[in-house]
Amino acid sequence: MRHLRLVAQGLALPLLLVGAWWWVSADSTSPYFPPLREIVAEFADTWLFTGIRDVLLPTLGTFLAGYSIAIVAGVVLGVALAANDAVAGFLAPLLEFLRALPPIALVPAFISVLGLGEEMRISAVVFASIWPVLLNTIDGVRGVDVVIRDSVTVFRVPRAQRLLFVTLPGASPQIVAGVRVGLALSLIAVIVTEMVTSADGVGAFSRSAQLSFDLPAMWTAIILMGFVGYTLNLLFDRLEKRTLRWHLRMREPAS
Amino acid sequence: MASAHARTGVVTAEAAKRAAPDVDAHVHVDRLHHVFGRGAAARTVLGSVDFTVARGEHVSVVGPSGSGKTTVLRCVAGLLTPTSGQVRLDGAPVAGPPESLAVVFQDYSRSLLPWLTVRSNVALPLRGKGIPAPHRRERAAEALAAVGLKDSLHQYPWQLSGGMQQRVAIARALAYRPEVLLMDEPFASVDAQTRSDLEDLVLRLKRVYAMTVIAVTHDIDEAVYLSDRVVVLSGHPAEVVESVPIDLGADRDQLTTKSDPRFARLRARVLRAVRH
Repeated sequence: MRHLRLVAQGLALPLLLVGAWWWVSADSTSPYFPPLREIVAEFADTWLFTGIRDVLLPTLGTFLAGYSIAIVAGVVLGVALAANDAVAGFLAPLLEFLRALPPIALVPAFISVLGLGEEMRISAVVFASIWPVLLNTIDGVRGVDVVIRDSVTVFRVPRAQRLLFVTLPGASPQIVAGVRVGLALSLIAVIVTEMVTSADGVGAFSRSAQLSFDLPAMWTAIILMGFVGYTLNLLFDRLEKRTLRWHLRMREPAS
Repeated sequence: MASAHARTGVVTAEAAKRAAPDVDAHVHVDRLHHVFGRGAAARTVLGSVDFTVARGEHVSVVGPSGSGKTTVLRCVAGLLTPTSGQVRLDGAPVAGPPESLAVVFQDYSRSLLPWLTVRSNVALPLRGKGIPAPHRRERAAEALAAVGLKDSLHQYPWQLSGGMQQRVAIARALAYRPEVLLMDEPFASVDAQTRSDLEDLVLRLKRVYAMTVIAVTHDIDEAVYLSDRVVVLSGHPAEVVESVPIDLGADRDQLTTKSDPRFARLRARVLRAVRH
């Protein structure tokens, strides 16, 4: 019962907004804001299901490839740098600079070096999302409590086990926070690079729909990406709750 | 040299120490000297700290806060390299954490791993010993039973009270089966009732597990109650000012031992030395 009420509560506002959109746009003659009815019809036509296969899957492929490379490389490099103060100190200004650089600013440079293909798009996604993962990993590894470190040193826990059972779990709250920031940046990077390279993909689809004045199609792509982003965030929440259960529950007030 | 003294018949305490190296000393803290920092910020914490602990002996190191007790303990644990002097374990100099040594840290809430269950926490140190997983779990469960926590195997440390968490830390050390157990202010962060329970637990465990114990504490009652000998550190930089044998026998309990006049005398003696 309580569960049902929560679901109803969560759905109330989205339903209200969609209803309002439907009602306000019903008689719209503006080419820029077509009636929602038309957009929904177009959505079904375009995306179910050939569009998902031909347009959305390439986008998700690029995103997944770039995002996973960024996570793995960011964590590996972060652990290595955290263990080496001299190198980390030497690289710190460069890393901070690269993080501060808006990733999209580098897309032209990526295009001139790597061309317009998939490698370029994946590289852009990696570049966009690796910094928060890398820097948070360094911070997280360094932040593992000194008493915990002393304990595993005294008990001579071997290196590999130390990494697996002590360092990575200890740093995981911060790593996960970096990975979450990376998720949003990856999605931005994949859509923008698709827009400028007219590949297969949702970004390119939406851009070309806009250029050919097929505005309902453009809107469907925007709505689709909204759903994709929302779903990915939801999956991420699930994953976070599972992997950081100890961290979240530790912070709850004692019963 | 020994023969020269034997001829003259005069043996000073200093010479005797040199002439008869402690063959049965399990742990020898040998002229430990330590300076933190460099240059203008240099702070000499340990002057020349010298004492030995026999195999199976329980020694408490007491001293005012800031007297360098923990620094001594960290050197014995191999976590800190002293500026000069050394710690010898069975005659071999300590360089890095020795295999046969375990530590119970003061801050249980920080020394246990919150992402592992109680049993996994206790079993983790056994991974380095090449013990297969089922045996690790068994040994962890045994050690937890020995400290009265056999029902908390699958809980997380943060679900337990402070006293129980410190029991987990003790179990972790026991499961490691050390020859030397170090304890750094082990009961400083628990309430009075829990503290006397834990003290009695340590007395009980001492009879079951034959270990050499070195405990650092600022609690003089606790030091006298638990130890075979109390080593008093004092001064800046710290030196051993007195080493007080505690001849209260092996059977001790909170009521009779602590109201024994000998307990009061020893307590007063240690206290005077601390304030010296």
